[in-house]
Amino acid sequence: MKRLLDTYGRLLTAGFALFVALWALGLIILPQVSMLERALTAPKRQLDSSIAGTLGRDANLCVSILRAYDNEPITNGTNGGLAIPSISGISSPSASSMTVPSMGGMAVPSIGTQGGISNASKRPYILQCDRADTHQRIVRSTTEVYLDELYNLPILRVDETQSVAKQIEVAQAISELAFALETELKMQEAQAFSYTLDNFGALFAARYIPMLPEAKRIDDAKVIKKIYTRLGLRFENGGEIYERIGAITLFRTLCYAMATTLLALLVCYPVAYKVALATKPERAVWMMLALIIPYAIVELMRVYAWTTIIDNRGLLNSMLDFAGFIDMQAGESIQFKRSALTVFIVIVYTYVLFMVFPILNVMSTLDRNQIDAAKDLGASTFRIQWRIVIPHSKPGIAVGSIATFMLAAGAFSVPRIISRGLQSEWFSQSIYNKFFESENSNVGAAYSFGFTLICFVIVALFMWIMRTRLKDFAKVQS
Amino acid sequence: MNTDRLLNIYIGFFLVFMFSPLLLMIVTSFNDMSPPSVTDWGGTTLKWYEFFWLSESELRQDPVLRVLDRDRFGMCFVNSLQIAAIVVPLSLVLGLSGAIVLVRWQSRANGLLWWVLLSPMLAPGIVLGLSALIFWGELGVNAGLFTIMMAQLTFTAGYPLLIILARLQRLPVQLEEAARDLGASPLRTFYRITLPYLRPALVSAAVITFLASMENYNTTMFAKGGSCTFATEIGAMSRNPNGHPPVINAVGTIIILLTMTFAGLHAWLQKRKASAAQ
Repeated sequence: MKRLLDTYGRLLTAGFALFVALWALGLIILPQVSMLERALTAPKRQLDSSIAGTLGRDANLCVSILRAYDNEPITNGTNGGLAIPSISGISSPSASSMTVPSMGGMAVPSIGTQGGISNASKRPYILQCDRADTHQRIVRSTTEVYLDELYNLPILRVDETQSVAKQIEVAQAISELAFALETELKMQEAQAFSYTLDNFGALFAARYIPMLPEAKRIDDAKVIKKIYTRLGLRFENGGEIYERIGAITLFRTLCYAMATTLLALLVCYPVAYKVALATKPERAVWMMLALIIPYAIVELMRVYAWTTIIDNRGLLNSMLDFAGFIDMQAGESIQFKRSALTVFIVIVYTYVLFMVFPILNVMSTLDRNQIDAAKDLGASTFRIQWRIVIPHSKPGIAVGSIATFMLAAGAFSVPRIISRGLQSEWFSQSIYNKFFESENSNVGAAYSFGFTLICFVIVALFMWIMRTRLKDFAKVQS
Repeated sequence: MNTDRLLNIYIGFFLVFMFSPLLLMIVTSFNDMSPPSVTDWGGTTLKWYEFFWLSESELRQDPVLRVLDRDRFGMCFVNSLQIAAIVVPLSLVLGLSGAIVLVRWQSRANGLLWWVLLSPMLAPGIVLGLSALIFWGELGVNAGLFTIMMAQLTFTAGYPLLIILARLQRLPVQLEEAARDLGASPLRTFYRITLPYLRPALVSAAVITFLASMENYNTTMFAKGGSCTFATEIGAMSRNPNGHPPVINAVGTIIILLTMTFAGLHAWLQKRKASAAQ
């Protein structure tokens, strides 16, 4: 701190410190903390108070629909339920079908008895009245728990066999009870310790996979399914198959990301060696240019460039057609879009250059005389690589691998554009869907936080194995 | 000699692998066929480029172009420029501060600060977008251009940090100390010694940050809310049920040509500078 103050004075030092603090806290740490908090809180709609509140609102709506129904003077059976749909669009559409007398028996059988007097008649189908029941299941992970039992409410439900006036009375009682309970519960929830790990549990939740026996036999024989079974991601219970879909997606994504990294390393190492050490500097400039151009082009464009190749009527299929493997005239084509391998290859294509540059930058600092000396002393090509070039470029390899792994694991654009939803998701897509399709941001936050955590553990482990330090990241940039 | 030959062939294959999709993209942008294709040639056309300046009535006559929203595309592009106009200078300021603190502040917290400041570059982009979305949402800011800026800033500031840091480590401390000893104020030292020395790093950091901000899809997609940027709009066109319109390939071709021009120019300038120095 003293050196900073000496060189830049108080004003500038304070400015630098402020900006760093803003960046670290406001952009990095606090957003992650709020994400963790979101991941640890139960979704609002699953809270007991929300369920009580919903019950209260249902009962209220039931009351007003019943009132409207009751006030409508009904003279005879021919236009019995006519008024109902026009008053409340929320009540089920089946109410309107009852206007036709001949169909009267469909939704509410009792209307067919030629009563005619409104009070004696039973209500039509009203969803809210059916839901206005204090015997309401509340969200617990293990056992079945009901609202009335837990909070000592009387068991009340709007009985459709009773008179409408009586029904209104019961519904009103339910709504009062429910709202009182909601207020009370909200107070309790505000004070209580409300953090839970349930959202993280959703990542490992098992889903029932409906399958015909033959399909199951085929499925069982697949190697990948056997691996899932071994890992406990897929199991059989009472002859039915269950899969932990979230965890399977995560596992798949990480495996593909690791494979991408490995492949990128194998592909890039000779390229980096060639440009950094095996070319004269004048020519190396142009080779660098040839690498920088694809690197600098917008990522999305590089992904789109592949669609022409893998399309059902694209270049690959046309080539196969030309070679006589398939007959495109007859509508035969290989659907590359459906293959996870295609996504894998496009991901390798898109992120491979993030591996080249770190290795290249470190390699080019190696003194070529070392290689020449080793050659003169009779070392084989393999030995030179193993004993001189690889040890020297280790930081570059580590940094490149980490960058490629993280990009591949978090890939969102490639699976989204290439697969167009025709194959199983990548984990980034699962997170997206949790947030924006199923609108469950709590589980989504848990997915996302867990994902980050796992990725960081893998990276930290890798860095420990490779003996790299974070400061190498700065060295690799030149 | 034999291994050299092998290596050359290998590099050739690698470059073909890298460039052939781009070449296809350029070719398809002149083909009158949607979705873009190289195998079905519908005739040479420039209409995928003309899309951006054709009159309304001409647009309506084309079955592919008439469903595309040109004004929205333009609006999204302007949004991207606006975002970059905020993100690039802020990234430079944050990156510069971070680099100076990391290099000149020797303390035990230094290692921790390294981890904190570099972690966004290691984290998957989607996570950064989501955390910005949640954090600012809880502060009452709806998702939009502002959250996109904040989400991008989280990691784009890392590029200037690394680039400036590398150069700052080579700055001889004696220069600054001499200036201070000769009576220059700290501000004057900073403006006359430190900043001029860092200028090349600042320029290249600005270019890289600008490109990163413009092309970013993963982070932006999660933080954007109802707004759009150049990248998300291009990404959204992949959802077209009949395959994406070749307009994208036309845009891609322009980007490819621009990139090649600038990269070539840069290399040429470097070479001239090198030969001038000799």
